Amino acid sequence: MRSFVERQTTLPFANLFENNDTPVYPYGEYWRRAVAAMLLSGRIAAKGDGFANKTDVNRICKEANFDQYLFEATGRFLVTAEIVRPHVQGSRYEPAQYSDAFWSHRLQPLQEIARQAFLDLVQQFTPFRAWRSAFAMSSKLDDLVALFAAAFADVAIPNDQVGNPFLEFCKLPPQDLVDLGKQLGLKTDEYDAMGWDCWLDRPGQQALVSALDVSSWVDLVEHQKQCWFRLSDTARIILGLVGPPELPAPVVDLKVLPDLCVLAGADLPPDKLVPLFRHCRIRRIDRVIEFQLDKRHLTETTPQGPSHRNLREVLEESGPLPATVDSLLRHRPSGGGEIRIRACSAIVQPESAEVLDAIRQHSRLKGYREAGAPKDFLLVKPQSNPNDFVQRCRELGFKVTLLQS
Amino acid sequence: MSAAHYENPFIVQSDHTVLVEVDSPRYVEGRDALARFAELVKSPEHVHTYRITPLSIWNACAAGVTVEWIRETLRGLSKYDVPHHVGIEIAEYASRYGRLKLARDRRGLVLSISAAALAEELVRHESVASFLGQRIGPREFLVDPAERGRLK
Repeated sequence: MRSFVERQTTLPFANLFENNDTPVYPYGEYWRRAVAAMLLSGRIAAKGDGFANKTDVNRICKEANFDQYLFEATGRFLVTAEIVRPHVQGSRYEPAQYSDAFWSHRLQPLQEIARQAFLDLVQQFTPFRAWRSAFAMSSKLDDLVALFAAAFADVAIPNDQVGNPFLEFCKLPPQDLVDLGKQLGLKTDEYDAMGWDCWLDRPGQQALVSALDVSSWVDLVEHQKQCWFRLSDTARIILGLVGPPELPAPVVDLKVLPDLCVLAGADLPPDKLVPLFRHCRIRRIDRVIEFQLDKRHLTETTPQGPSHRNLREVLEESGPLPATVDSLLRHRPSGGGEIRIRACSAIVQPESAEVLDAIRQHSRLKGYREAGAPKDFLLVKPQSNPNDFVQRCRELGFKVTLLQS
Repeated sequence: MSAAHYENPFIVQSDHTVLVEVDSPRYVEGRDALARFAELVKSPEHVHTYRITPLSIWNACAAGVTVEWIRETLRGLSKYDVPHHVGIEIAEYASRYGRLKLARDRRGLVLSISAAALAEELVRHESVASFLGQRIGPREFLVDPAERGRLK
């Protein structure tokens, strides 16, 4: 195995990382918590496959100046790892089975769910036309990654040929792989080791690399115009090759400033963070997340959703509210109202001029509106699905009555 | 779990912003230290915001402040760990200090460059090259006094 590693093109880590940072606690980064809170905030719809709606993601990422590709990859991992899940009856997200382990940084369940999620991701990225004798869940490819990480412990490999070393590695004598696995405490047997190469044809290599990337198990570093691949500290900790670093001190500040700015530490519990992401404009995502209270934005969200705490209640935990914030929240429009809708014609009859105006102005509803509606009525565009309009109105706190045709 | 120093006034963000809590017992010490190497962005009632920029570090270096002192100050007055890359980038900003010198002598306004490689880079730099005049040495250029401000 040593001679196999020596035959590969490698570069020592020390050449790539002059100022080697201490590893971060796995899945404890502030931006990952922010993505989870954004998914749970109700501002992002889930698609039929469970992953986040791209339009909503782009909108919120633009507001928060956050990388949308990182958001999509992180969101995919959080959904696959069952940290968040789409709501059964709606298109929004809710906490899933392993939500607590994620929010409270519990390493052991995180190790288990991340390994499961990695295998699930391999399955997701494997083209359905590629024949496999079993599902990725039973392939133990996570053990292969652990063996590979142990063999290439201190070196990186060129990223453009990363699939091949994996394939060649799994063709080494199975007994050697099993022996190395035993040293690492893995329960890999020869039968598992012999089955790995069928997962590593060309599409399989791509699926493996994509799954590694979405799981944050890869670091890519550019060095002398070449991109180098190494299995990240997160991967090594999750796979049990190295111990976790010390958990950093939690950033739990919560400050409400008179200029309507809210500063909230990323380590606050989700019952505090999620309402902030729901009701406030996101200014900056960092270890202390910066929000801005904004009258227009507050108008567009309901004061209290079924699964969210009231914004005022959360803010008051930081101490007495500044007069400006108190006044803004006190005069916050109550939101909602009643509309009646006749499905066959999609004519919408709001209960009052205020409700009519609220729908006309609302950034997430005005797109449904057709011009030329009679006075005091709204028309839904013929190309739009009235059911979507009804669902969105309900999510935004309107009471909707469907009139009989 | 590593310890946080909740009595300290600074929170150093990863985008080089420093939040300073006015109610902290060490606020005055922190404010005076930050004034030497960061720019005040806003100062609402309870939390002031400063930003560390290449220019603010350049000014600090010009005033004789060292990188070690800046890093030590941030570490000593921060509630939480200072993001690792922030320390590295401060050192990188500070390393730029003194690499280019614009001085007037008997030949006129002369730009002196500390390294030949940097001189070559500047000659090839699209937006800088147009402000450089005659090359009077491997690492020296004449500069039209009218272009001094734009070159800086």
